[in-house]
Amino acid sequence: MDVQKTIDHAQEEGVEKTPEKAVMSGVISGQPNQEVHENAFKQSHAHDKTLSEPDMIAMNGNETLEEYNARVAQIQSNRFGFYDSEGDGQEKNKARVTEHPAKQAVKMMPGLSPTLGQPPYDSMVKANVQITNVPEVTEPVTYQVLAKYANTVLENAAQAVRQVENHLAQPNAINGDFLTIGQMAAKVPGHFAQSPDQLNNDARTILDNATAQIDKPLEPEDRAKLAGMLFPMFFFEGGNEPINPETIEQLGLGEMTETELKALGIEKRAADLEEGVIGKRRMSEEKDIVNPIDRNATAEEKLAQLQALSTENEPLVQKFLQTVDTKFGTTSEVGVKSPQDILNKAKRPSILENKEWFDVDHIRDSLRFRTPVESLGDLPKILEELADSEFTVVKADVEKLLAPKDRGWRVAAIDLRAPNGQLIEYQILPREMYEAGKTEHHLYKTVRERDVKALSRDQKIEVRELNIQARNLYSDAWQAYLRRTGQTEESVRKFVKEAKDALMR
Amino acid sequence: MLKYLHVSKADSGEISVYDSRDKFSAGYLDGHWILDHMFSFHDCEERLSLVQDDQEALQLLAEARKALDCPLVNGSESPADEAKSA
Repeated sequence: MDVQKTIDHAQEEGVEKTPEKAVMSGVISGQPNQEVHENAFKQSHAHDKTLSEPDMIAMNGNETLEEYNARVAQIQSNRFGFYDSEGDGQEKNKARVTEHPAKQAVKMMPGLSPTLGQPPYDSMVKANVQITNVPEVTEPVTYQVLAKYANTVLENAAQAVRQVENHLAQPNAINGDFLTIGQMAAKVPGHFAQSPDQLNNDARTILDNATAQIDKPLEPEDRAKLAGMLFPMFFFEGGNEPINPETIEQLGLGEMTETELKALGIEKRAADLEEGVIGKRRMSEEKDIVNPIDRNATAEEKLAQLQALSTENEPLVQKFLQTVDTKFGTTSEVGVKSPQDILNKAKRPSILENKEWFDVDHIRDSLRFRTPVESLGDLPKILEELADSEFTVVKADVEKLLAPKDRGWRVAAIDLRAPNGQLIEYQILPREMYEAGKTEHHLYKTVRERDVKALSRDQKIEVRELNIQARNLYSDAWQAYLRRTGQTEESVRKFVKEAKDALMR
Repeated sequence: MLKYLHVSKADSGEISVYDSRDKFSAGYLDGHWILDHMFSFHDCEERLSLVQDDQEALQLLAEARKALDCPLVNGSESPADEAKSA
């Protein structure tokens, strides 16, 4: 090699000498070294020949010189061996080998079976198709096939939704779904009392069941049932907490009667609805709870209609009370509010101040009855009888036995709706309270109709005195009851809880 | 329960106090105690809950008397009566 000579020559010409270490290691790092390397390469390969040069192409044994020169010329004219794929000849065919499709070896897939595309589904057929009809080599998916498949899937989904929509569009469809669940829950006494988290547990169970059904092909009816199964999830907000007012508003629970709510499996909350938990909603509900009388009629006509309803209901009330009195040894009584008392109540300023809509339509005690009891231990059992009667509970206030209102009157007050729609009132109270009420009530009537704004100071004091006397009278009666029965506030609290449970059942 | 004292509270926060010993009557309304006040809905039992705890009732009575400067005076005429006759 002349490489070393070239390097030495370059150095003689002033090119910076490559460091000895770099030369020995073959490292060429700088531009001067690069030039040295290129010069050395050119010198060493100055006489190299390509494979297309005649010196490198040997003559074939039977080849003439003319044939040899023609072959060398052909080689030199296309030194890299390119082929013209557009031309004729054997090379062209070889160049297009990749254009042969694989489909010649593949059987076309059949179209989607109606069994797969339309309900009702047959899970066995579907499984069979999946197992036996999958080709080993799949056809490349074309746009048209993909679009068709997507359409089929979407159409099936749309059909499922339509089924649910159709189902839900039916009158009371959701209520019907709720009813099933509500009835199931109602058949299990104390179901919701099992634990504070019982409703959440129920919700989880429903969700699990729904998930299991989603995981398999569904008949239209199954899908509709599934939708109904999931809807009650809105209600289950957890434990003993009141239903969120927004939920009540959204689902219209405030517009439903207690019976309808009970059918939805949320009867436990029904008492809360009336006890003010939902605030303004309570007022609108009260406004809508009316007697089945002509709201456009005159006051006299309304009174007459109420009277007719009372006449119709009295035998039913008497029948119920006869059962109660026989079973519990009580002496119940029935009273019909006088037309004048009804009118006075409908016009009472203190009521209208807060409920401007109040009228004869809203009177709930035009027919009232009460059962004095020897022991409040009978209260839950009597309410069980009530639950089995023809009357529907509209509002139940049994807490008043423990937390009396201003005048100290302690009673379990139940507003009912009779079969003919009339609102009636039932009171259950200790015998001592009943006796005290007979004495006091007529005094109360003399002052309660008065408009406070028109009262002088002395008249106000008179009312105050009557109120405190009433409070003392009822307080004494209550203490007398506890002494006689040996009961305590705590034992009465237990009866109250049992009474609420009885109403729920 | 104290026989001479009658205290009730409304859900809206209003309070009614009556002491029969000197016929002291007051109402707590809109953040103020008002002498001789009686709520227009006094006959609507549902709107007023009885205060059964004597300690709470006495505390509210004391607060009302102090605010209205009507202490209970042993005598024929109470400050509440004097305030009215003035």
